[in-house]
Amino acid sequence: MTDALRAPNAAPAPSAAAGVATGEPLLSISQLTKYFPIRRGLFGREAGAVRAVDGVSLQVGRGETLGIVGESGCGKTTLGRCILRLIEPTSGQIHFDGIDVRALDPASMRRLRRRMQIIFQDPFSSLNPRMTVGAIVREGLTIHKLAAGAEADNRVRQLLEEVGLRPEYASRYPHEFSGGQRQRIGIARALAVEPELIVCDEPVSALDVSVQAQVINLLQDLQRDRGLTYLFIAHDLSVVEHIATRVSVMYLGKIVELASAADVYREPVMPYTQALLSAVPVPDPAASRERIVLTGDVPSPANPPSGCVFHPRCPHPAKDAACTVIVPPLEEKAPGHVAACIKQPPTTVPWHAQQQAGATRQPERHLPLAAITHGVSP
Amino acid sequence: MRESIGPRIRILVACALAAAACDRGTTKSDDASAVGGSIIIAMQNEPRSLLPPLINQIDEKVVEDQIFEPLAWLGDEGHLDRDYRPGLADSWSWERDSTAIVFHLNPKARWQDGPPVRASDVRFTFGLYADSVVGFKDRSSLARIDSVTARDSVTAVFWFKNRYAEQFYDAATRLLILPEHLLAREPRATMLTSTFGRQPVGSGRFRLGKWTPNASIELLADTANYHGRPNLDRVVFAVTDVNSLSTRLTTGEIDLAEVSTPAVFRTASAQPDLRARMNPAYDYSFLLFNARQRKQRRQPNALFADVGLRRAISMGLDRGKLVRSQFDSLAIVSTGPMTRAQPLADSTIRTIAYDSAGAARLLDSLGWTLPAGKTVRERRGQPLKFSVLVPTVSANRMTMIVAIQESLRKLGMEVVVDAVDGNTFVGRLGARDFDVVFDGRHVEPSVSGLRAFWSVASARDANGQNYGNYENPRFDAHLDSALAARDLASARPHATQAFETIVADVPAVWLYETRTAMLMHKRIRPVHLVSTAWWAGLADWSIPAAERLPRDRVGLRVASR
Amino acid sequence: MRRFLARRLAHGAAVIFIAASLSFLLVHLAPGDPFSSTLDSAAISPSVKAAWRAAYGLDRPLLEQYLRFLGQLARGDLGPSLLQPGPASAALAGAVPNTLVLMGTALILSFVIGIGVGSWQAARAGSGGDRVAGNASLVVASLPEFWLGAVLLLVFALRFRVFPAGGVVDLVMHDSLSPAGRVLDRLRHLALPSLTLALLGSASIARYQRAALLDVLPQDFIRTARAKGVSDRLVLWRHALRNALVPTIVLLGLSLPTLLGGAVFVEQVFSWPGLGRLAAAAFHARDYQVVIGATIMGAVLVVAGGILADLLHAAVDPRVRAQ
Ligand SMILES: Nc1ncnc2c1ncn2[C@@H]1O[C@H](COP(=O)(O)OP(=O)(O)OP(=O)(O)O)[C@@H](O)[C@H]1O
Ligand code: SF4
Ligand SMILES: [Mg+2]
Repeated sequence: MTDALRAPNAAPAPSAAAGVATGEPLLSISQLTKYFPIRRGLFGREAGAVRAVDGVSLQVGRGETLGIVGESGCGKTTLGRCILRLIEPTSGQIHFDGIDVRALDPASMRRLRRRMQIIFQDPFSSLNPRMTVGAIVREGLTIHKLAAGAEADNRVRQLLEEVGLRPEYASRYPHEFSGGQRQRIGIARALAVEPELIVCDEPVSALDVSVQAQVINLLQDLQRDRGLTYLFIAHDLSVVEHIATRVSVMYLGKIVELASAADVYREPVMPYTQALLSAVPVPDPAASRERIVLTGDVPSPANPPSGCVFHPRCPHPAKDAACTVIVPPLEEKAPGHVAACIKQPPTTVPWHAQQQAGATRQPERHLPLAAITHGVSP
Repeated sequence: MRESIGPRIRILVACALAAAACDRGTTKSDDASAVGGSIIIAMQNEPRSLLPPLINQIDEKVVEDQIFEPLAWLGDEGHLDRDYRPGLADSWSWERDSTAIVFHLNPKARWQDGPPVRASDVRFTFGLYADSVVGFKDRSSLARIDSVTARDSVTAVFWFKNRYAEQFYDAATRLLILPEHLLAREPRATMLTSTFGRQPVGSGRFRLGKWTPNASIELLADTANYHGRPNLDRVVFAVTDVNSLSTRLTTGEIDLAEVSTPAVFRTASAQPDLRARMNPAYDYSFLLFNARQRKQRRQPNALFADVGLRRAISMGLDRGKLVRSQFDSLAIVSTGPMTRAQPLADSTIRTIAYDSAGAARLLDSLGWTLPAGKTVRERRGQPLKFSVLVPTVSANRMTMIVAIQESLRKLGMEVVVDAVDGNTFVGRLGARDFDVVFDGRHVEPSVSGLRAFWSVASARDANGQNYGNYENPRFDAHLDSALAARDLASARPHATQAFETIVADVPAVWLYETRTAMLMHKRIRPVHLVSTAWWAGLADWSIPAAERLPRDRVGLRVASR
Repeated sequence: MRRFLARRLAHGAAVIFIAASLSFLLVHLAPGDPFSSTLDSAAISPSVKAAWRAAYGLDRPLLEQYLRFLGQLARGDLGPSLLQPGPASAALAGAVPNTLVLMGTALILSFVIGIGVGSWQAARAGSGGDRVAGNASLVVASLPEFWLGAVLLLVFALRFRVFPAGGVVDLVMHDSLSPAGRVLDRLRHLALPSLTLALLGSASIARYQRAALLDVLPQDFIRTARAKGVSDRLVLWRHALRNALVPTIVLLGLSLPTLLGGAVFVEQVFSWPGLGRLAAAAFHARDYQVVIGATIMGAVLVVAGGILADLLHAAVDPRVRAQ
């Protein structure tokens, strides 16, 4: 592995990859929900809840990279942490390699953590400032009895080298490193226990653009070498584009679109995804596309809008009263391409049902970005 | 809390001595079973020095009386004119004209460091006490002793300027005899900081064991003492905060304490292991009026030069109720500038009775009337308002002044409490910078101290202690007659007249005499527990073998370390 | 680090000098002097007092006395105590060890209790137990020292008789005990005064520690640790506490002044022959040299506390050490 800057290469994106992972998925979650109670007053009475994750279902196949994209606050981090049970989900199921994760007792859960790791969003706060880099990396090894003594030291050095750091750094403290180096430390630390799944929670968003590419390259190399599975969280599509096999888009705690990376970039269906994508700069300077500017703020997850949670900001020309009533199901719009929008045909919500809910406009295809040539050619 | 300035810095004008000199014949303890035991006595203030002429407070006296000896001890009944018991002197005789007393020292007497005690030590001791630069507080009481001579090595003669009733008391008990060989070279102006004061050597039956500053003073039996060793192996004086006193008494950490707080007395005296005994009162407190203007002796005081007003204030205070509610049984209403423990005190003299209606009428007749709709009396537009100087360090006075303020308010007087710290208090008192002061005095068995506080001469001396400028030559004359009388019986009528005179003049509202209670562990068998100085017979106290505690069985190890 | 220390020491020396000078000034300006301190001294004539003042140099102009005092101080000498035999430093030397033992024990106890309670609270923040402990420590922190001392005295010395009520050692028995017995004797006497001081201090430390832990617990590196599979207890002790201790440890040095202030009262209640008692008695008697000496000792403790805080901070925080 080298630090040399490499141009972000195109995602491997095997076109065979469909909306749903084939074969036995490594990770499978269904109807996962996390509500954070809102406490008020002196005695901490519960006054409502933040619906950070609201009924999310998805599956990740072995060796796959599932990208999760969405604006800040949409629940990505919460979702990632719930999967590892770093926070306890409110409801729903999580299966890892067939194991019912939520049913595990604390000791078994700790053992399982060897197989599922996480790389945190903030490289500055995620490393214990009071421990040397060596100790940070080594702790996982000793906790899971993977190595001890001199052997553990060796492993630590190896791991540091593997993530592109000098082995001598083991005796230094985190504050002596740059952001990129720290994130590499975080990666080395995660790798130490030889996990199968790594939740990468915006691993590069706090980094310089130039460094971002290096870290992503590193992650890709590691995935290739070790056959890792990634759940890759990002708040903009451009980062995910280079690494993800499939991409799911989140809005206010819900998944609103899920498809292969290529499909999402080529033909985003959900109006929210379209808006997100319109903000991604196009590599080809000749091509340009209209920026879809969303009006209004993201509503509070403590008090999400009724019906389609996106309706207050939705630019879809067919949006009407039905959108405020009907909760759009996540349904297939094209083979392997699912999205939640009752105005993008085909939809399983029949017109008369929409009319009953006050619909005035027929669903119609609205693909403002489809015409634009995207960096990844179809 | 004992009534005086400071938690218990009890003012010791010359110290209350009486006592328990031991009849060596009967108590001399060769009886092995009587020997042994260690007792711990609470003291509230640590002595600053154990050099007797520099006596500053009662706790020092208690310790010094164990290490040093006077020529003779006051007898059990505390009579000033008879019943004295041998101390350093075995016997004494009067010269025919009674202006000299010859003391025959015990020829076996030795200092604790070895040399014999000589008459020259007595002569030296008198010289030291009488030397003004040393600073013996009661030096004036030695004024009528002309000199002390050594007739031979064991015979000391006290020469007096004139005859008087308390001659023997002054000579025999006021001086604790000191070793000339250790003190002769000590510079006199800095005696206070001489090391002797921390390493005293006397001829008493206890010697200093270990002095742990701020914590304790250990006295050990002087086994080589010429009177025979004391029964107790050890007496430890432990500096104890008044707040933990009752706890430490109850738990047995302290064996003996003098208690002046009603609450502590109640708790501790309820303990089955403790025995209580009331001590007589040697402190009295009063509201003193200044007959003159503040700081200006020439001008009569605008308010209190008037005996009528002074009397009205006295009538307006229900002293019985004030004293009972604050002190319970630990104080009695004061009758005059004395305490009832003094042999010459006369508690039968007429005092001013509580009569608030009478007080109001008296005020009206003096022109201090209550204008309609007002609460403070006025005379010619001037309100009846004055301030009372009170030292904050005296909790007793601070508490009582509030009750007094309230009583007088009901009579239409406005009292302002002028509370100041101890040093300011002393300064203002000395400068006579007050209209009314809440003062207190400690007295000794003799009434000779009255002269310093109430005589005309003292009032006219800017440095005198007659702070209230009380002047009545008739009082002085009666007092002088009493002090010059040859014995107490002939002194008594004069003393009574002196007291009647001063009480009728109302220079002060006599408020209370505080007394203390002594609480001691019941295993201790005290002897010669006489009224004025419970500690005088300490060397003959014992603890029965069957009742000993572990601490009593420690034995007399050689103090070292 | 060495330069930093040198600077701190110089700064500390300046603080001590100022404290010494201020206390010199204050004690001399306070009404009265060593020979007027008690009412009864009125019986001693002013001329005798004047002779005493002259003998001890108190009749000289204040400036001259001050310069002489500085001269002595430069030689490390406080001068004689005016009211007791021996130099003032001897009086202090007897008292300081007792205070240091009391404060040292109280300091350790208060941190053990404070950190323990604070961490226990933080681990279950928002629960009933947390709230009860929080309110309790709020109450304890606001108690006057002598009151808490008196309560402990009543409970543990009077009611249950497990600890003695005053003093440093058993006045009679101590010297005849075995070496182990003597240590035990000292500990028994130390128990209540140090616990009183410690409880008062621990209340604020607990609140501090709780807050510090609550700041640390939501941080990512705690999740990192949990993600590694580290058990909850180990996460708290090895990861969270280590970080949350930094502000608390710094408090260690900074709490010395408060502790010293508390010691003055506690020493009074438990008849503990330390600096506080000595200073109170000396001030009451206007024993100038001892008062000044005690103030200097207090200033030394405060300065030492500050330096200690910095050193501890450096010791526990690698980021500070590097600077
Ligand atoms: N511990 C918590 N208590 C209460 N609310 C929380 C908590 N953690 C997160 N939330 C709320 O849940 C919602 C989702 O938060 P989350 O951190 O998962 O968002 P995110 O998508 O990761 O955002 P970002 O891109 O900024 O990291 C937010 O509204 C957030 O305020
Ligand atoms: S359902 Fe309606 S509001 Fe929601 S995305 Fe589709 S068009 Fe917009
Ligand atoms: Mg996030």
